[in-house]
Amino acid sequence: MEKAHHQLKLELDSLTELSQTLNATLETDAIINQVLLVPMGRLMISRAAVYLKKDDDTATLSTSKGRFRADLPHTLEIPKHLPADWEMAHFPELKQSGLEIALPVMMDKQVFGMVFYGAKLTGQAFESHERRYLQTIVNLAAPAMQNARRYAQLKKVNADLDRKIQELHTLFEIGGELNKTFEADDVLKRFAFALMGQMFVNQFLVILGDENGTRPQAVYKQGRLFTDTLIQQLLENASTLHGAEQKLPAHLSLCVPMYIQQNWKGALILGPKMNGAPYTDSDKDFLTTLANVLIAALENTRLFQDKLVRMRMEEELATARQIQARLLPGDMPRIAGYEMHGLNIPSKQVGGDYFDIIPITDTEYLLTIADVSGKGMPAALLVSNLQAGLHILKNEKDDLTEITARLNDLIYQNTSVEKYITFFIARLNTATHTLTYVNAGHNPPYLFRTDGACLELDKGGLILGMMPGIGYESATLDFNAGDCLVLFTDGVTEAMDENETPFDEFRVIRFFEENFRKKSTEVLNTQLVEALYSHAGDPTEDDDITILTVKRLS
Amino acid sequence: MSGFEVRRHDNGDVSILHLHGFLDAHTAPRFEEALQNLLREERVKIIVSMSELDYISSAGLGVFMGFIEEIREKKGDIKLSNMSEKVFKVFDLLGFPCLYEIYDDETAALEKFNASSAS
Repeated sequence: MEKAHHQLKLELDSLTELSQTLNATLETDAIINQVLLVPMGRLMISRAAVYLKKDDDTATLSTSKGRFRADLPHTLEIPKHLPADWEMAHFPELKQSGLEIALPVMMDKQVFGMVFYGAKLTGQAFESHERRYLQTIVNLAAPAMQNARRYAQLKKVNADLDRKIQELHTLFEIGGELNKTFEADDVLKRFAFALMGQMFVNQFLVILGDENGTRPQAVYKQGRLFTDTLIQQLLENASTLHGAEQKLPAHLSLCVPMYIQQNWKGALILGPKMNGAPYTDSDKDFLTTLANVLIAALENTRLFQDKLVRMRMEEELATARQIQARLLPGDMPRIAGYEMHGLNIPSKQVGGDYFDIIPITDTEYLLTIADVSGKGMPAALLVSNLQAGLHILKNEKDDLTEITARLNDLIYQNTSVEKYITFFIARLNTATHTLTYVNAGHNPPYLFRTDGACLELDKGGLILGMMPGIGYESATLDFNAGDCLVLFTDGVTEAMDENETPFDEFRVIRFFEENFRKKSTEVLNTQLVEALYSHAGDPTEDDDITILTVKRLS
Repeated sequence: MSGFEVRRHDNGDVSILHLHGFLDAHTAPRFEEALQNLLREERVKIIVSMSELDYISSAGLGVFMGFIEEIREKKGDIKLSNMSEKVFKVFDLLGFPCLYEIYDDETAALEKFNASSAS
């Protein structure tokens, strides 16, 4: 009797101690440890285990103590309401492992877990008061376990929420940051940091197609996983990277395709997270959004770069246009007995036309017209070259064939073979009224005579810059009273209408034959340009238009 | 806008980087550069001390991720110390404590480096 009394006191003491410990903590593990270890010590039980349910009827092994004859099952089916006749025999697997007593953990008449104890080391059967003692312990711990479980759930919800907030924060930050830079490399680097920090991953690859989503290339790589061989393999099978559910090579975890308005632009391919955790649905949502932000930023970068290139080209053209304009004569010189007008309309591309009227003496003038191959800045510079050469040579040499030959050598030396100049130069002597000229492959100018003749000025030689050391011929004509000379570039004759019909030489000739007698050179030039516009819309789309017209007054 | 600064102190073969201010997507490249410089000098025992770090975003954490593999392959480590509660919360949220050692102060981190190199 004395012994039974003593035992009861011990049991009570341990229950009191247990209840105090249970109330002091919200850690599930600590509570479960108490529930297992206190009776194990008190009753000399060698093994025990706890299964706890999450939401459904499946309980998972939470903690076990001691050695078992067979491995405990990881999960266990426990109905909410145990049948009235349930007993340990319901759990044969656990019985095999060496567990003897099953006790339900109940709250609100529902079972949310199960505590199992093994046999006593002494080999004696459990007495009824011992069973009651064990059940009391479990009952006592039930509210604490329930609280701890709820607390853990709440903590998880809170942590999930914090993670979500952090994700939003990251998206917000990266969205703003990516808009600040227009360099694709910067965009990718910033994206990489956000991705690595948020997803805890340090293995990933960004694949990007061109503007049509074809010819994909690897544009950013992080981590050793992505060897050249693997990248090659991914690029060769890029069409498999268009959907989210992809058969990726082993050890790659995830493919996030990137689209802009249903057009595939690239893909983000991820290796495993550094902590080995799987990618959750929430992670995938985040990655999709982040990848969208990335592709939009990269697309902006590309558009911006395109625009930049266009702007640079415009600037270059504007400079070329300035150079060209500066090389053309400003005012027409006044020559007694003659009247002249020159006109140049540069094209948008800046074609490299050139004309000049250079006084040599009071009665001698050089008239020249030229058309440089190519367009834009290179053409403008070559014109500049020609002009400089001509202005030096005009003082050194009298003979036009020599001047032309020297210019040819100069241009040949200073340019590659595919660069050349069609060039026409004439000396007008206003005392003798003669015109001596050399035509180096330029559209032949026309001399219209009052008697109706039209002479083609085509004597000369090869275009400038094709072959060094060649000679040129010259020819001399009389410039009679009333005669009209017109020099022009192929921008005039090659101006096309919508049917690709060029304006052609015959229209130039017809226009002058009809008009040169009664109109001033300025009116002639202006009206010829009008005729060109009515033929070809805007003929300066492709090439410059240059016309120089000289008339001897009658 | 927000300032960020990295200061470096070498202590034997351990380098300590002191972070100041805001480490976010904007300033992350500067922290990256500091780590790159250390790697270039083959200094792979690194303590990142954050007592003066006011804020860190995921992008800031991303910098650590980009280097850790290479540094550990070279038998080094990045150890973290002196985090404010606010900064630690971000590290904790994104799972860093399971892969990075975090110490209350530099001395503790330094001792750990020295202990492992002595053994």
